[in-house]
Amino acid sequence: MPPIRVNVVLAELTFPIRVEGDSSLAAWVRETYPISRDGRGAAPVHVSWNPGRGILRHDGRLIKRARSREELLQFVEWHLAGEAIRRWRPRAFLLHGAWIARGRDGVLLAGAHGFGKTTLAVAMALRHRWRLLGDDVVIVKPGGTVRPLDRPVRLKPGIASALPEVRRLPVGFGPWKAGWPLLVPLRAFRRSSGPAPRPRAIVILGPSGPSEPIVRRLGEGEAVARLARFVMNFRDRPAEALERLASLARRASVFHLEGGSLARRCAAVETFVSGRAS
Amino acid sequence: MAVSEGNRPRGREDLLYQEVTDGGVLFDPDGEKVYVLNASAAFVWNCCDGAHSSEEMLDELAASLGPGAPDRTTLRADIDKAIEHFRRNGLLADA
Repeated sequence: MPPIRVNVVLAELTFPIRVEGDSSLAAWVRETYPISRDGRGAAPVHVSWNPGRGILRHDGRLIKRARSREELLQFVEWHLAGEAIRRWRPRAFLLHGAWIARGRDGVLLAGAHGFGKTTLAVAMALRHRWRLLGDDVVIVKPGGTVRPLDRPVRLKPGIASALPEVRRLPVGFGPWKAGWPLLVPLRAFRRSSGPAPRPRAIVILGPSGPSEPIVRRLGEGEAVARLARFVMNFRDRPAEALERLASLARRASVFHLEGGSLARRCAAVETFVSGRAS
Repeated sequence: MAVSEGNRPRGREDLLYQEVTDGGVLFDPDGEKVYVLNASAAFVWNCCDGAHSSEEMLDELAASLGPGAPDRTTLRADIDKAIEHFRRNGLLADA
């Protein structure tokens, strides 16, 4: 198979990729990411697959070797996200969180690993028809605009017990059988392009549980202090990060949500944009 | 410990302070800790410039709060508490 060039667009950045050895790899890239048509210039990212051996290179440098096709796809996704983060890092703040919206009302879901950001974001999309715009990392640009990193949503098999609807997503479930997360393109969750949302609420998630969810609205100072923990590049420019977080916390209501089943948590998120939350 | 009248506390210069509508946020890059200050603690922090005594802070705080201000004993206790909090957490420059 001759090399295929694909231009992946990730968070306003273009990553030309040269794919060799397996046309299904190029198809996967096209299905997983937004693509730009421009076909000129060098393609620094090189992905090749020969049965039993996958190689990912960047500017000729070996990044990863993979023993299976699934493993290679995971490495490609990981590498592209890492490159996008590296390039955004000097000019924006990167917050661990998911970004969902209904109409122009955006809700940012932040929280420590394992507290259900992805599950809640996907549930809002599949059960409540919200748009899932980004999972894992959001970019807080100068001026306070929020935009997602656009990487695919990584779903681990455990999500299916809390949210069986994921089994109806239009993706192959091979990765789960091979022990890898599913990489679901964001467009699988976007019912329409819709207007660019503004941050209306920020929800800091605590652990879920069978109890009634406990919702507490945070003052601006506490909101800034808590959100600082989720800024990936806070240490790079802490004064600017504090200022940006204060600006964000002034424009959006910040809540702490702890406990509650998935259904209760979804209902709570609805109240954050309806103005019924106290 | 009450703050003596002659003491003029000064905040560490390497700390980062961000004003927010309900007070302030202090970031200590040494311990990478973030402190949330309520409105009166934020006021006191802004007075920890090495020039204000606690008595002067008290006068300024009372003036800024206007006629609805709590009595001076309450305000003095708030100021002492805030300074003690700063001192205990190593946020003040050594005298």
